[in-house]
Amino acid sequence: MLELQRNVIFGQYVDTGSFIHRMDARIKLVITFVFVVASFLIGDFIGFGIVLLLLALIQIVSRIPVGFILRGSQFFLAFLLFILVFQVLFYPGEASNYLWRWWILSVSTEGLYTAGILGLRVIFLYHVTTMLMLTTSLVDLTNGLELIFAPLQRLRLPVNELVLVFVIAIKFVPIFIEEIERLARAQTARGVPFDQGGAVTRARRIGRLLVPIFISGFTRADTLTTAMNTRSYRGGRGRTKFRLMEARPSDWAVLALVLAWMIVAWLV
Amino acid sequence: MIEIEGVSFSYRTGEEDAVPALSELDLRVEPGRFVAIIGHNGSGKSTLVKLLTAIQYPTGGTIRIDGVPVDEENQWEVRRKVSVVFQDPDDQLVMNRVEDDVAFGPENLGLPREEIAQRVESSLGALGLREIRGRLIEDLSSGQKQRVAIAGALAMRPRFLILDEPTSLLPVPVAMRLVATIRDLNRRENMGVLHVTHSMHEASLFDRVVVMEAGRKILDGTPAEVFRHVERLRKVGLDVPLAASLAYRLRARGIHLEGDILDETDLRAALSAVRSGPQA
Amino acid sequence: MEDSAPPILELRHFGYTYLEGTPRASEAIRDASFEIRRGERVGIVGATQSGKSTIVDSFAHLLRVKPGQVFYEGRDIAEPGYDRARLRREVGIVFQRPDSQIIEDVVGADVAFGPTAAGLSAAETRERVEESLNTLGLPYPEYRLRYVHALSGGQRRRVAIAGVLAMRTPVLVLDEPMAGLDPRGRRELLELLFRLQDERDLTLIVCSASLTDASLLCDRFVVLDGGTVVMDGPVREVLREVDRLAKLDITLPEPVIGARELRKLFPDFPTDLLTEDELEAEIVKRIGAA
Ligand SMILES: Nc1ncnc2c1ncn2[C@@H]1O[C@H](COP(=O)(O)OP(=O)(O)OP(=O)(O)O)[C@@H](O)[C@H]1O
Ligand SMILES: Nc1ncnc2c1ncn2[C@@H]1O[C@H](COP(=O)(O)OP(=O)(O)OP(=O)(O)O)[C@@H](O)[C@H]1O
Ligand SMILES: [Mg+2]
Ligand SMILES: [Mg+2]
Repeated sequence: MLELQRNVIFGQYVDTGSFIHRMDARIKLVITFVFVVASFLIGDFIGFGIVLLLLALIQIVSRIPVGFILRGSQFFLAFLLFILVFQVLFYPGEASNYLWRWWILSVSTEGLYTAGILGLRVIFLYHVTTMLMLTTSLVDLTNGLELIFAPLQRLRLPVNELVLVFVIAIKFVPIFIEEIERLARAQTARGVPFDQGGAVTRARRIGRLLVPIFISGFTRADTLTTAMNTRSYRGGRGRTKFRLMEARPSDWAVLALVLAWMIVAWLV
Repeated sequence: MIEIEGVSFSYRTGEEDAVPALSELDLRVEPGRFVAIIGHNGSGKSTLVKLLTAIQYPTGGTIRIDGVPVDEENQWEVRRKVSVVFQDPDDQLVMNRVEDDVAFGPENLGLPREEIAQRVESSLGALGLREIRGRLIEDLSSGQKQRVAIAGALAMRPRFLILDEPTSLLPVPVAMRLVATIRDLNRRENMGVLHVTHSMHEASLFDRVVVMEAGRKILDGTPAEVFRHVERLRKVGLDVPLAASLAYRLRARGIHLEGDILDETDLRAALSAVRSGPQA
Repeated sequence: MEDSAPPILELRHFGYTYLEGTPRASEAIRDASFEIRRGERVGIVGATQSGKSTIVDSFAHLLRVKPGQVFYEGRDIAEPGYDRARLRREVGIVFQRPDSQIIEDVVGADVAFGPTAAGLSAAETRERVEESLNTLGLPYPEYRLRYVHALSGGQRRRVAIAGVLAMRTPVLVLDEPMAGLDPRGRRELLELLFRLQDERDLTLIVCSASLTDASLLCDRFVVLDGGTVVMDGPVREVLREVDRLAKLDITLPEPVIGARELRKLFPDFPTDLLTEDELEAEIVKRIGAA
């Protein structure tokens, strides 16, 4: 009925077997980190234009269709747009060029510019993290994180547990989506339709689902944890790894390319 | 060896209320045995499974597995000795790719990589999953998912494999192939099997059948011994395999059928003896 | 006269692809057509993954149904302005997994969900809840306040069925209703469905990979294989093609399995047997009572 999975792809993994899928997860994590740093350093449209070229390239190489990403991001984009409109209307400080003004609301060139940059920054961050998850399986993600942060273990930081929390958080998004889907479907079939009525009615119905969704989401997480325990999972303690991680020269080359590209985007 | 002595268990549902699920249960299962457990809905089968895998602990009596008492202190040791597979594979598969999920248990045991690789390889082979080892679990059929779950349990090299209605979501031919595979593992690895089922025919394929009613064990023996109690089983909400029931009816009509009749082949053999009887 | 009324449910070249337009798209049903008449008892049968649950969902518009493919009482359920709320009050579905159906966490409240949503009075709702739970072997006073997650697997399935029965829909669709029930539970559900069908002139649709119970309950089978309809006809006619069915990885009715085996002994042994009584009679006919 809803097939929400089509509209929210955050946290999904889609195996196309591309070069990016086969890259070492650690390198992918480092690259993502580089992107995150870059997104804060870059502050003008030319810079983001250069970034965009790289994102397009990644998109093509990953063989994940753009249409899929766009449809799967519509809720996110709608939300972002909503925030940005506020950002523009309530732009603080003195602007030099007002296009429109009323009471405390205004539209100014500065406001538009800041909101534009902010929007690009958020989209950039969203895109790279989504792509990381779309191209990296859960095991690789977990193992990669554990290996990268392993040195911190000497500082007595509970790395395994932190990684587990992170992974469960990621896994929780699809579980959460499934729960919404399940409850909406169950209620529709039994006489409370989710596919009819105006936007407000629908929103109100979904709102009333929130508590049950969290409860059943946690119940499911609990079932999963029990199953993991019966398979001797003790929060990652004493775990060894089946999959070898091997960074190939081409992986390093990609890292170098990304670094160089970001520096160019930053400095221009 | 599984030794269950005088075990009782109640679920606490409120401050005062408790639902009794098992009472005074005694059961011993020697290593390498192939045992089916049947019982009406709510008779305590899944509760027994939870107690054997240290998900819950008895409120009375003791359980020992290879001499190790099942309690909070020994839970991790117990879980190395018993592996469990539940009815719904979606509730127990953790990773998103077949071989990663099979490796999940051995990884948790902290085994060296070579050992894990070897166990994954042999478990995949035993369940006929080599070809689909790289597939995403969400793309598999329910029968395949259940096989992955069993492969994951097997890779732990448990002394006992406990299966809670693993076949109830599968059509009979698929279920029969699964049971045949489990039988094969049981023989080759000398791994004990406890298998919960609602199919009387399936139960008749095991060496021993344990019958539960309202938290107690009421019958225990070979399928031939147990399924002789036609009336008794029906009274507690169960049944006997169709062939056994037919034999019971035909005998009641005064037709003399030789031997134990549990499945269609037995029935045909007995009938063929009847037909050729007069001439012989 | 009868025939001029439109079928209560009809699929016309129905096709469905999950996650259409994504890299994970999977085609579940291709070009399925059949009709179901009021008061009929139809079994939709096939192996796992053959598309049974997808067809079930289409009946109550729980999928993105395309116009021109699914009709209820002769009307296209996907046409704009169609009253889907009414459709769902008339087509009750017991889902394959109780967990995907149960909404409330307390038994009584869950069974009351459907009647309440349909706007029934509290008294009427209570009466229906009580009746449904009792008929499913969960005595109302004992079970109404139990938590659903604190029930055994088979008990949860009974709650799910009770929740749909309480809606008293003229069309009742059950997806693998027998899975996880003990033998008595199966027998009782079978009798209950017979009785309901008789009393309320129910249109009954049962989906299953097992023909054992479906063959007792239904007059007609629609057989699916890989998302297409491969056979459609009266139960006995379908069962006569037992060798073809045996290739589909479905559960043959137990008497049919017995009959197939006995055919090795009596080559003329019929395979379109539905009950143990019929099987017994055929055997007795051949060996004669002692
Ligand atoms: N979490 C729980 N909290 C409270 N009571 C429970 C819980 N789980 C099960 N029960 C109750 O304990 C009894 C035994 O349940 P159990 O799940 O062991 O039955 P079962 O033999 O596995 O039945 P089924 O064949 O239906 O799966 C039942 O009466 C059930 O209602
Ligand atoms: N939510 C979904 N998302 C993606 N694919 C799905 C979904 N549900 C079903 N499918 C696919 O559609 C096909 C038909 O599935 P369906 O559940 O209708 O079959 P079924 O006959 O009910 O099988 P089963 O006996 O396993 O319940 C299968 O290939 C399945 O993988
Ligand atoms: Mg159970
Ligand atoms: Mg189904």
